[in-house]
Amino acid sequence: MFKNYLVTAYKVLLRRKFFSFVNLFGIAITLAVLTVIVTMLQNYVKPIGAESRSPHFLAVRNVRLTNEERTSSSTWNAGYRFLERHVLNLETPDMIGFYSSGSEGTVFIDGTKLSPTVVRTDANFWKILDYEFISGRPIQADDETEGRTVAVLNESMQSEIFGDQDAVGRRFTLNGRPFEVVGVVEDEPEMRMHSSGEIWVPHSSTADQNYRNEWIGGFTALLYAEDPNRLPIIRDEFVDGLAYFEYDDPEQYQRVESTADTKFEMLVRDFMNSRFEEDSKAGLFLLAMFGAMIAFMFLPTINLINLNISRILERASEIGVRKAFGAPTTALVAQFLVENLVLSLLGGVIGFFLGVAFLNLIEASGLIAYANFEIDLVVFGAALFMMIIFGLISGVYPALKMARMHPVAALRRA
Amino acid sequence: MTQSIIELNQVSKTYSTERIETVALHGVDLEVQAGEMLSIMGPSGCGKSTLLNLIGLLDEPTEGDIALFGETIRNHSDKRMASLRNDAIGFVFQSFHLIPDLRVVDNVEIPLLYRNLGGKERRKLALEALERVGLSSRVNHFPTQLSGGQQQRVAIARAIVGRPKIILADEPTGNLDSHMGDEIMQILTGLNADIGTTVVMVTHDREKAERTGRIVRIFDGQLVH
Amino acid sequence: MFKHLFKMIWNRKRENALVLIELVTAFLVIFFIAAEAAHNWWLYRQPLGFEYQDTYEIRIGGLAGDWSEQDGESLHQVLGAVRSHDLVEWAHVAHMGPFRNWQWTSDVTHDGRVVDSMFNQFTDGAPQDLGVELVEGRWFDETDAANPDRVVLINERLRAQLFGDENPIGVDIRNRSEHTENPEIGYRVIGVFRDFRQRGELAELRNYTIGRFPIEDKEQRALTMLVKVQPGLDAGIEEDLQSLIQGIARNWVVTVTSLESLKRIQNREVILPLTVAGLVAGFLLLMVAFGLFGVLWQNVTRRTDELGLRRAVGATRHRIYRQIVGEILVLALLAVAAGSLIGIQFPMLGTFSALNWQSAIEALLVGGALISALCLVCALYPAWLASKRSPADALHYE
Repeated sequence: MFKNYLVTAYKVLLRRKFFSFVNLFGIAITLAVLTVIVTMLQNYVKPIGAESRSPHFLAVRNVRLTNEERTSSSTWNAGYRFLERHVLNLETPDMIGFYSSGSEGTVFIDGTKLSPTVVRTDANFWKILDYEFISGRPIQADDETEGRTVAVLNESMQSEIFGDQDAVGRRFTLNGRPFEVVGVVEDEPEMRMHSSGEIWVPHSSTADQNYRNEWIGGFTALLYAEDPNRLPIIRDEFVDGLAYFEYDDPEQYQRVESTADTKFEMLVRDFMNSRFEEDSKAGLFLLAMFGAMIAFMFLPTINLINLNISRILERASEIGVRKAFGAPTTALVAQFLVENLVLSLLGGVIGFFLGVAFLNLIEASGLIAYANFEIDLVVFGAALFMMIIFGLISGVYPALKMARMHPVAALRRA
Repeated sequence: MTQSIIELNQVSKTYSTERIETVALHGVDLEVQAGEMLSIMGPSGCGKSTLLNLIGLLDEPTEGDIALFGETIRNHSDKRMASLRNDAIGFVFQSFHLIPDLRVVDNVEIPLLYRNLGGKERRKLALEALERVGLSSRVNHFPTQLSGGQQQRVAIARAIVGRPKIILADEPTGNLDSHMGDEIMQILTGLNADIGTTVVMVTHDREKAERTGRIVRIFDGQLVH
Repeated sequence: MFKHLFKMIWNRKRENALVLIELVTAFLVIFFIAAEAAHNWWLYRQPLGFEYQDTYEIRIGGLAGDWSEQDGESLHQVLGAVRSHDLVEWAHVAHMGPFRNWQWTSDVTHDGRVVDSMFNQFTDGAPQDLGVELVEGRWFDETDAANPDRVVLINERLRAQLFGDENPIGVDIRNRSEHTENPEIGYRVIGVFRDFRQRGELAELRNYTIGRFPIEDKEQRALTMLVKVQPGLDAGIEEDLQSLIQGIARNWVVTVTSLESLKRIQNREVILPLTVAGLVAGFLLLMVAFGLFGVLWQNVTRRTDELGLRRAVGATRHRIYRQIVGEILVLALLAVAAGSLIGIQFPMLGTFSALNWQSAIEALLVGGALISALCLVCALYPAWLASKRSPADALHYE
């Protein structure tokens, strides 16, 4: 029976080329846009590239110092002193690393200016993240303690500064100071929140060391655990420790607020503006995303419903005959639903590949530096799921309307 | 020994829209014996088709009872009516009503779709039915590639493929020239004579009607004796 | 005729309701994007208030710790060295440069009125060199170093909001900021300028206050310098400036960026999402157009007998054509009316900054025109098809 529905669906699809094209077009465009959005979001949070160990660590980034009355506050990323007092001394993580948010550096090559994103890191950062080294080595403990002016470049920076040659061991001038290249890593997409960057240097390689006195600075710490199940314990230890806050000037600030988050929570906090709340509102975020997608599908759905309804009369004779020869209403509803689902799924598959093509276009356009989207089966599955919902919603009403048609009327009107 | 296969008892049918009520049938009594071949005649708009639709369970009477095989049909569910139609009745329409998206053989298979039959079995029965109407060579054509007479033969094959006891034909020759019409009449009378299928046919063609065993005349919603 | 069209539409209200919903949704999609675009276009046409050609932003960074008197000394030397560079026309210190997405805002009060305003500080002569137009009063100069009052100039917008018809010159206004140690600082207004749209051509119009950067106070931290060079130079000047400054102040990390490139990047951040939204909406509209075309075509086929009858009783081909097109246009009109009713809720509630009365009305016009055009185009072929049928043919169909 089901096979017969499929055969009919296929035949209807081929016989009515214009309608099939219109339907497929609408569905495919809708799904392509959804695929692009979901893939981009998903690439933001999933453990890939240098962040492949992200399920094993929490990140501490946002810090807010306030007085008891909360009338005065200072907010940004963690400063080095905050790391020393509240992060580096934690006992539960197996490893703690940190890095500064990227700042724009200046390198002049033959009269042209490059503005690479420069990230300052410690040595552990390189053990927690998993960069793919093309040559050389990461920044090591003695680079950090001695404040050496050494740098790791990404592949693109290497070729921009040194042409095609291996840069390890060679020198270049960054912000007016000479640096030696010790390693070259593969490019990391701009949208990877922890691992993106173009040049990495030891945090201690700055001209002055005043940053060590700052509570608020540009740092993010990564708290690593071999066993991901221990992350909640680490989070508890970190949050508990915030109670023992003592500011240099106790008159000015009495409280500190901060959170230790997974990549996903971090993304959600930025979106939902819940940076210092205990609950990152991840559930609400997912709900909102889902709602937005449904809203986006509204117009294509109405469109498809309209087309399907206007076609009921074209098929009145078919409905009448099937009824006369004993098709129960349920069988007809099933038939039309299967037809619509086949159409939706076909459109979905086309849309998915269209979405992949769009993503390749975005990668090639350079709008997002070093973009390299990985499209996986989860997105494909989600796309398929959305299309099934789409097919059902746009099919149910017309199918019911069709199947409920009175056989006599159906035969007469044809 | 004959048995009454269709029995109508004081059947009336009224169509009502928002403003007017139209009486299509009024107090009709009719009995059809198994194996009979019967014509219903009358001017257009007199209620012939309504009567046929009621017998075919495509519509329900406003008043009165209809019984098929001695069983009174009243308040049956959509499913029950559908399965009765599927088992017992085959329809032939004036304008053929073949599904243009399906090949001839697929069109003929339609009644079997709503029974639990395997694909091979369905195909076999459909080919047999097509052979019976002499269309074995056209099984893979689309309906639009056939002449009117051929299309009506496909429709008859579709009507008989499920081996129904009753065939209801609504002006089966109305859209055909007389030569093709004769062919169709031959097939219908043959069915009646060979396997004893009961045939009820609506027509306004006296010559065609006279080839059936009994003629029932209907005028203005009532039987004329 | 019009009444007749309405009757036809009303009698098929069920089918038409869904088409109507589709058209209203499509209208709203156009409405929002058009409103956003119209608003940005309007913003783009507002005067920027300053000149940015051949000007560079120099950010002083790398000083994670406190600004020392030593740094103040360096600043003086750097300013002197840059000003005496052959290719440099002028150089000034600013708290913040333009075309960046940061700002310094606080509440300004006068006579019980509280409004918020952006703040910035420049060294003497900077506003004049940047081409900021003075409307009333005077700019600050070195004599104000000894002036016990902190002096500021305000833009016309802030002047209107805070003073109305009053004369603002010489009046003290107060600045409330939770981030400063002194919760309330008094400022004396000495002038009014046209505008200074720090956040660029596509940013909302904001209140703005310009104060004097006290260059003589060596402990005053400087974040940005603005340097204008002679026209037609290449990136070499950036390297020159950087090495010149880096050579004097070795502990600073200096970045030199042209204002033109900053402006380009900033505009792109607004234009790119709008372009993407426009493209997606374009595809959606194309889909709606195809769908509508299909529905109309289908309807015409279905109504063969009705149309045949009309022809039989004497309607000309042209009348039939006009009827089909007229019906869909009436539907479009209804959709635009319903969509407009929803659309104007937004400027009334004031929920979106982009949706003020002006942009909303422009968006209504654009949306109405597009929807009508779309319906018209979709109806032309089916209407032609309908009018071409001969009455005999049409009636025979049944």
